[in-house]
Amino acid sequence: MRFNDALSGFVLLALAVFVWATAAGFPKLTGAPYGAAFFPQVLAVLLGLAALVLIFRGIQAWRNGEAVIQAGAWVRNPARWLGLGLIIGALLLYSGISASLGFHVTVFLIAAVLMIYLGVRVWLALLVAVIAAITLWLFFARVLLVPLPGGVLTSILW
Amino acid sequence: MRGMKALFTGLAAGISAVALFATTAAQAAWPERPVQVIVPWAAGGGTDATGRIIAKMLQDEFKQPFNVVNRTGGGGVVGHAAIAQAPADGYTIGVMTIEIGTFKWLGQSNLSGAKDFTPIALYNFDPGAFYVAADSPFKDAKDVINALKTNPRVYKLASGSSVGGAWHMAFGSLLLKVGIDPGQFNWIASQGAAPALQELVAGGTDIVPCSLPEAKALLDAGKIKAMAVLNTERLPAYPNVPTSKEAVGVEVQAGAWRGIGGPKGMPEEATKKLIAAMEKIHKSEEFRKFMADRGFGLMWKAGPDFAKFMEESEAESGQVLKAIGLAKSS
Amino acid sequence: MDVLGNAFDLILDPYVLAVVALASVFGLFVGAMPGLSATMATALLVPVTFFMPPVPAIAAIVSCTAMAIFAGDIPGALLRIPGTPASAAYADESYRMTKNGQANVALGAGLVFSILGGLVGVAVLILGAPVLAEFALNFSSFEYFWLALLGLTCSVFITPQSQVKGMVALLLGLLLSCIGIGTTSGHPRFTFDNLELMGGVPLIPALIGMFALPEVIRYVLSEDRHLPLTQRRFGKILAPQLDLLRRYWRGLVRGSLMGTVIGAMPGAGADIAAWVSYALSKKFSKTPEKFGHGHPEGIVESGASNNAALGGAWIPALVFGIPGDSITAIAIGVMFMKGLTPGPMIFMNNPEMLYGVFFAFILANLLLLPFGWAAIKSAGYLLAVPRPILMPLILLFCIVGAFASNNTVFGIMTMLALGLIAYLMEENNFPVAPIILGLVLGPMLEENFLNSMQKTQGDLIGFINRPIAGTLGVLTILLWLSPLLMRLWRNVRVQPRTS
Repeated sequence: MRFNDALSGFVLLALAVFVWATAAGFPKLTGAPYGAAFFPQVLAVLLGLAALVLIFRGIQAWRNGEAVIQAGAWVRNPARWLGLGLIIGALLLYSGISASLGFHVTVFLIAAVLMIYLGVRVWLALLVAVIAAITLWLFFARVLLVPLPGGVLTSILW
Repeated sequence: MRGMKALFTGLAAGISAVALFATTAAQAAWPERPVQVIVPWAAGGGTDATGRIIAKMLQDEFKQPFNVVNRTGGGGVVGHAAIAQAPADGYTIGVMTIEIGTFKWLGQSNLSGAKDFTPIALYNFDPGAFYVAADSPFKDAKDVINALKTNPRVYKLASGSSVGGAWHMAFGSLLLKVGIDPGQFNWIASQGAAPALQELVAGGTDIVPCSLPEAKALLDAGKIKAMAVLNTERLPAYPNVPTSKEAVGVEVQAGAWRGIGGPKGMPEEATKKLIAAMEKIHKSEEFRKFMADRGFGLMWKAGPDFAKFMEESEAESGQVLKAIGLAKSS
Repeated sequence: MDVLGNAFDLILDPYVLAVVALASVFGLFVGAMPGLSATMATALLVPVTFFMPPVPAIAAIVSCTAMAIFAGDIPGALLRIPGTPASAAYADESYRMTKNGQANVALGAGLVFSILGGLVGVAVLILGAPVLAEFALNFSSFEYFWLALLGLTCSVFITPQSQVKGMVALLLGLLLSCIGIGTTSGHPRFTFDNLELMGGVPLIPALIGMFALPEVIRYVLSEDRHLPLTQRRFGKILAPQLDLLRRYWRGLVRGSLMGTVIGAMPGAGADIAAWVSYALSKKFSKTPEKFGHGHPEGIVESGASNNAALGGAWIPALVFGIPGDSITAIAIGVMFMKGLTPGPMIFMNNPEMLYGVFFAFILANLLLLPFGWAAIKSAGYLLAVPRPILMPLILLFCIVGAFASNNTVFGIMTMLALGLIAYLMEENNFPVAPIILGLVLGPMLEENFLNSMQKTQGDLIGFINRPIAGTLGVLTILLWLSPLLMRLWRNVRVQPRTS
């Protein structure tokens, strides 16, 4: 999805203004010539200038007939939106319920659903997802002691 | 095999989506499953090292895994908050450090060591010391204090830690005790003792406070000189470094401490067992040798004593931070 | 000689050899997995090394990182996802070579020149450790400020697209680095009262989010999903390297030495070494126009550079206990845990242990040849996995990696947010690599500037009146002005002819 540079420019300009304004509220350090606000505000000014250049270029390109938004072919395909939704959903799902559901179950669900969506045969998807969940768990949780949540399987695993 | 069977059982449960309602653990003697030990500092640091040896010894004691989890960031705020906000079921404890008493004053969080945690045991105290470069005109601590008294604006003091960190405060309390206002100095923040000491050698600063083990490499190399240690007595490993009392005539005990704590409201059974186990560990030859080899000092306060210690530490931190001019108004 | 003999015995112990071999396989695996970095491999090793004697513990870290830094090239060349940040500088270049049917040359160059660069780094470490560290020890905040600025300047200069967009990306990275509690001020900035944000934007999740996640998103949104994007079988890996060696030996020497020096500088590691060397290679090349279209010259130089940096980073770490990069920062911690205080005394008290580490370095680099060759060969099989299966698995790795960096789902949320932003940015021709560089160097830039100003009470003269700082400053400013100067120079030369 490609936006005209002027649009990116306006978003960045807004960000620069926001950073400047927020930083203005930072306290001064006692006895220091430059405080906590100095660095972000310098960055905000530079970002604002870069944004102006982008806006200028974008408007020129628009005058020369560039579309404001050029979308890829996938935008009109609901199945692609579903795919994007699945990825975002998978990460949100993991963040939200892995602690209670457990690493293996969550990871199995994510892998199986995504693979089936991408056209892998169901039995193969389920098999790979089970193997992936077990391997990742054994490697990271048991060998490297990463505290992956046990969830519903906690009491069975230990 | 146990794992395989468990996985298949669990996966079946997952598919049929009834998983959320499974297993409410039957009441059994604590601990019946692995315990998480949160360390608010990075893997490889001093707090991490002591946390790991304690976790290993607790594991041997209770025959259950005690897994160390590093939760770093924000000068310890993130990890301490993770301990405080964990479920108070006895399966999450953590290492608490002196910084817990500063968050409130620095406006970083409302956490309070004495109020928001279940105190278990304090096991370590490392007094601060302060150093000058080998080629510095200062010969001893008296020189330093006199110079700071007469020309406060000339000298550059490193904080030896982040702003408001342990060594910053330790040196601040020494200055308060000898009657110098620490607020008038030119404090230079650093990302810990090593870069601060390097700056000292490079001539970027004049005085650096930090612990003696942290400065050992440069002391041995003859690049820096130790002026005084902020403790009631000399450290056995550094018999040549005078105490502040000997050097400038005021007794100061200031530095960094570490202890074990858990979220507020932990089951009494778990707390009691942990305190007993910690006492055993603290007395053990293995632990004492580990701490001595790495230059860590020992201190012991359990349960309510530890809470009282944290309360005092917090009050003292507030006093020093206000004097330095860092504490938010309150 | 007795010391060397003892050190040999230490390193040739079957237990140590087994540890080195296992750590090597682990390093290759983690390095080759997009989103899992060499630093993370080291961090994940710490709990395992905790129960080992000092020599195998250090040897494990050394061999694991040497393997991981090379292995990072593999997904870089085959998927355009750098396996570690140190491969990011030339991932695009080697991917283009793969598209031109030269994956064997690109990966072989990565392997052979990693080994040569690595060996140069070790040689310098062994011979020049005390001298170089002494030099770096004289750096104060003024010098570090210039060093950080120099690194950032390079990142904008190597932007292949519009430099304004490279600048925007860099500024966004620097702004991200402002989030959290600053060490200089102690004040929480842009945290929106979120506790996790007080710790700042975590680097590893950010890296995974910006380099790995957009790849998965792009794949899911692409129309033709079953196109095999990469080559599975390769031609001769090692044979073409002789020719490259003959043609680009200057680049090899320059890259190895540059990498060692940058590695030895505290705070700058393999990733910055690779960026700088890639830029230098382009600058000194006879055919700079070929860069970016699948040209091995830059891979030779920066591939050697990032592995040389590993050895370089150990110089200040061993001699003075000051880490040269994030990996040695962890390694120093491990040494402390073993009761070994890095410092000049270690040369007197535990010389066999020190030489053990040196031998471990040489061993790891020699082992890299067969192990790396095998890894490249099997990478073909790894990527023969159909992409509808591979992509969800990569997503799982992203999840585990983002989580394990600080053991919190906040890492996963960070990865998601930055991944979506990076995807949109890349669609709009904004480069994402400068964001990472900004994120890494931002604190170094700000803290060293503020600390310097604190020391001089606001007087800017300190940045130029120290000899090393002044030199670095002049270098940086010349680099800034170089496009302008070049244009002027060209105009002067062209004008007489046109008028």
